[in-house]
Amino acid sequence: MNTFKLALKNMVRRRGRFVFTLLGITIGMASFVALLSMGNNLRSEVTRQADELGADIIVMGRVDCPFIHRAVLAGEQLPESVPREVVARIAGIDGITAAVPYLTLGASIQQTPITLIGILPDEMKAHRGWGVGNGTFFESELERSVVIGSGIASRFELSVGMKLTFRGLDFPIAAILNETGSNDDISVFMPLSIAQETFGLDDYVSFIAVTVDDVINIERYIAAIMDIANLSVSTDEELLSSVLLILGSLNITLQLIAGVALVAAAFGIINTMLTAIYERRREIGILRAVGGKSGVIFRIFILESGLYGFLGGLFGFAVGFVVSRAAAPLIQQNEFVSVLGNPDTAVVFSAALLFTVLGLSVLIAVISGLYPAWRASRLTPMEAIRNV
Amino acid sequence: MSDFVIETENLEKVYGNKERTHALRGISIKVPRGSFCCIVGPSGHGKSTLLQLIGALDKPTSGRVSIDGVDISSLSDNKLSEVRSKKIGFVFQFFNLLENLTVKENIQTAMMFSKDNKKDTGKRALGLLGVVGLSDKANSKPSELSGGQLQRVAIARALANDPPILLMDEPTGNLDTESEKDVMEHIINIHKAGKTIVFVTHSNEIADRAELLFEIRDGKLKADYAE
Ligand SMILES: Nc1ncnc2c1ncn2[C@@H]1O[C@H](COP(=O)(O)OP(=O)(O)OP(=O)(O)O)[C@@H](O)[C@H]1O
Ligand SMILES: [Mg+2]
Repeated sequence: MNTFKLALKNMVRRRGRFVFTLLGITIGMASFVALLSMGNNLRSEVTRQADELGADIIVMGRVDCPFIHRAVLAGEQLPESVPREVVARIAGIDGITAAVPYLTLGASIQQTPITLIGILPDEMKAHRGWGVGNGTFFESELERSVVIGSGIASRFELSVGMKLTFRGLDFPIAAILNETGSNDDISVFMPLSIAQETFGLDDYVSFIAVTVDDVINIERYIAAIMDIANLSVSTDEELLSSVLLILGSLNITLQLIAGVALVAAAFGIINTMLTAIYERRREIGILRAVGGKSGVIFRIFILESGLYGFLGGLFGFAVGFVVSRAAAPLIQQNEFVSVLGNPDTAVVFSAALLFTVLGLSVLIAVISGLYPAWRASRLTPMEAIRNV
Repeated sequence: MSDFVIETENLEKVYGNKERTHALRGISIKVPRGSFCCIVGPSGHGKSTLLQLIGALDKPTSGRVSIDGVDISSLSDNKLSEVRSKKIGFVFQFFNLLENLTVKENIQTAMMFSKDNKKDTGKRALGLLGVVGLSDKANSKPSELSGGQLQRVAIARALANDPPILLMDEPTGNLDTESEKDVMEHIINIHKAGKTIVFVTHSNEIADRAELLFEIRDGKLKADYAE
């Protein structure tokens, strides 16, 4: 016999109350796990996208906001707002190694929305370091065909020579790119002029990705670009931090939601423990009467609530894991989340996360148990004699 | 060491704040080591109160209680717990066993509170159940036992840490005559084995067996008789 065994036996005495209290903390921890990893996954996704863009400076239209930054990073449709003629002038600045224009357009394949990007074929291929898996890459800037990412090819079961239709015009697939692991895999590429013509656009692009030979002097290059055109010019890091900023506020929102669930669970524990202590007043008195010190009584009840925390953390982790996996596709379709790209929102198992969750859960439960356990430890041996 | 294992001096107990009940009005008794004493008196006149003060379950309003030569009136809460654990076994009228534990676990729980007595609790609990003739009920729950059996378990629990003193508040008050006889037999045997027993009772038959009799009336010691 020891205090742990006593606590364990007490805990499961009222099955219903045990189950519902445990459910409370399980749900609280599950939402914490799911929302925390969702936030973290979004974050690492955005960071990865910024890495892949491989640009030191991004030149955008005058309208400059986190959502545009995010669209740049995610390679999604953006209004064409940068005059094409500035591309060559930026490329001409001393020390600038490349200025690669992107015209990102919304299009669809088999009724599924995709991103179609108008590019300067040779510049883009060199900039992105593409390898061509199948077929022949664009041979001229005026070729009326498309090159597709490997993800698009497998998703829609496409192969070289098949035709895609945009704006009523057919475009043969000239080549399929090797897998890159980036958004290029899920994009369709078309020579810039052909894209402008097909979509009836003037000679504008969405943004320009610029690389420089010397990042230390980046401010100088930015000033030089701003001299050329009245446009918004940012470093890739500024872009990233602007997106991370909205992500941060999203994270805080998510964690607040989880926090509310956890607070509710904590009150569930307090409530259960106080009720249990009221019911067991007499038994506590008996324990005191046969020699139990008040510290032992305190320990028994702290152990009981700590056990709620431990089990709740364990189950919460498992439930959060399973639910986030099951719900990942749904969450990705959610408007709110989808403006942040299509990240994987499922919980990734890690021992560190498990220990964090267990630690937090036990901590919350023990704190919740402090007051009830203190109340229990104040009861006197005379409780054994009263209320006969 | 004193010959008296329990001594009280001018013990007073007042219950309540608004409606005050003066339950004990200055009681001084001495209980010789190894004796079998009974406390008798009319209902509501303070017998249980006296026993609870001796048993360190409650604190006197004024006066002193010494157990085994130690004045316990001024001890801290933790020290009182140690006195209850080491020096005293209390047997209640209503058994007071923990319902969700087995008979054996009930006895082991009392053992677990004693600092120097934590080994072999299972074996020792079984031994004590043998003393009260309940070896076969070790793994039963209290709800599966008769009143007489429950009280024998409670006695075994009171013996858990081998205390010199057993305090019993009408331990047979809730039992039929058959069970009462059975339980009394075990108590007498335990007394013969050397324990000091203080026993509150309404039964003349039991009181007749006492070596020392304290009669309490209106919170005062009306008389004590040695046999
Ligand atoms: N916890 C308490 N709070 C208030 N009053 C109490 C308390 N315990 C006992 N009393 C009062 O103290 C007086 C003495 O009670 P006590 O229980 O000691 O009597 P008793 O002699 O044991 O009676 P009985 O033979 O019925 O058991 C009674 O008037 C009782 O109402
Ligand atoms: Mg009484």
